[in-house]
Amino acid sequence: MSFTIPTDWKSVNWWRNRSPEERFFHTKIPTRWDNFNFDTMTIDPACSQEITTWLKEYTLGKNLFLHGRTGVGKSVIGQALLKRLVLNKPLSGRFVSSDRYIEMLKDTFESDSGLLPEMYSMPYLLKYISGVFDIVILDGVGQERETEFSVHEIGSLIRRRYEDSRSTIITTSLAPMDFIRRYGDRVKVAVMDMEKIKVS
Amino acid sequence: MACSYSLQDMNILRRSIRLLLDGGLTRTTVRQMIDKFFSNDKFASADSPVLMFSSKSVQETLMNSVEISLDDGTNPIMMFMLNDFTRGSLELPWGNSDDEMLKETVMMRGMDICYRYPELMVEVIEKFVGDFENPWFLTTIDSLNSLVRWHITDEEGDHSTDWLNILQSEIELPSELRSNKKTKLRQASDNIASAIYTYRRLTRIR
Repeated sequence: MSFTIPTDWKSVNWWRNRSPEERFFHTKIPTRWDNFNFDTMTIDPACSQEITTWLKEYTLGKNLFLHGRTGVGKSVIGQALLKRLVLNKPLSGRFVSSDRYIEMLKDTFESDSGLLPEMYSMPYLLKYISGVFDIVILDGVGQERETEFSVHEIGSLIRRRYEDSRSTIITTSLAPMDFIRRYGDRVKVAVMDMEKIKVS
Repeated sequence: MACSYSLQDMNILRRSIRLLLDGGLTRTTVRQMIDKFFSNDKFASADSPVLMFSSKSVQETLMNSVEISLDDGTNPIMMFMLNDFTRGSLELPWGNSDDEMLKETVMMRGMDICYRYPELMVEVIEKFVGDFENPWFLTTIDSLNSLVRWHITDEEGDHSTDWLNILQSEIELPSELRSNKKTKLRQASDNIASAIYTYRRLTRIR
């Protein structure tokens, strides 16, 4: 199913008021995970219980920090959570990897408006990610190249969404303490406040 | 790919692995590091893979890409920090109810110490076991952290109060931290596992 991608500015409510299918379409969850949902996933029972509880108790603004070593299924779980939430609640969401986010930011450098250039179908995407979408999965945080710029921007995004009470699901191979060490004081309170689940 | 190693290579390799194990890394971790090493074309095709593997910076890169586990000789408080403040089967000298408070305290106030001198954080915690509510507990951590920051930043200012606080808590500082001039401190690690490994490796060598 395909939907029109808006090129003009849309409000928080506009995004929330789309049909569940359209909200799901705009999450841009990679198609390779089309068949992965909670019913088909094999996860450690204790971890599964924690995730189910988080989902059951979810309220707008609740955050989740999924950590664990590479290949254990953090991203798969993250996307399944996003899918479940946007299909069952009037919430908008987006899946974005941290390196893609940094790449998009760099692509705005040459535009005076601060918007994404023409090669992107949604010029306001970065603004939606930072301050409009109800739930954002920031995937693979820590895998982007570590530069002062990337550390600052990822940290700012996490903090801004936290302060605005918008939900962020972080997937990372960094343990919470190492995560704070990398992204600095800016993310300290936000990360401390997040529900943390170690995926194994 | 077939490789042959000279006797000298073998000795260097043996010593490197010995150092890694003496630093507290488990055999599984070392094995994972070796696998990672050979899965990286740049490393594997180096003129001397042995010398490449023995380089400290390469080992750091490898350590950042595997899940580090440390052996049973590691201080339980360090293990507690390493396990993301989850006690599991660790025997710790305080009740479970203090775990969360310690996690918050260390993460909110003691990050600059932990990633350079994890042993100092352990010493403070050990000193205040059973008395975490004593205001000196937080004061000592704050002072230690602020002393480390004074050394690593351009910050001027008087740090004699921090000094006195640490002195009063009877925490033994390494010589570089006792210096009145800004001194080069132990390199900060990227992750807590590597900070603990560095500490253990340094104390074994001394």
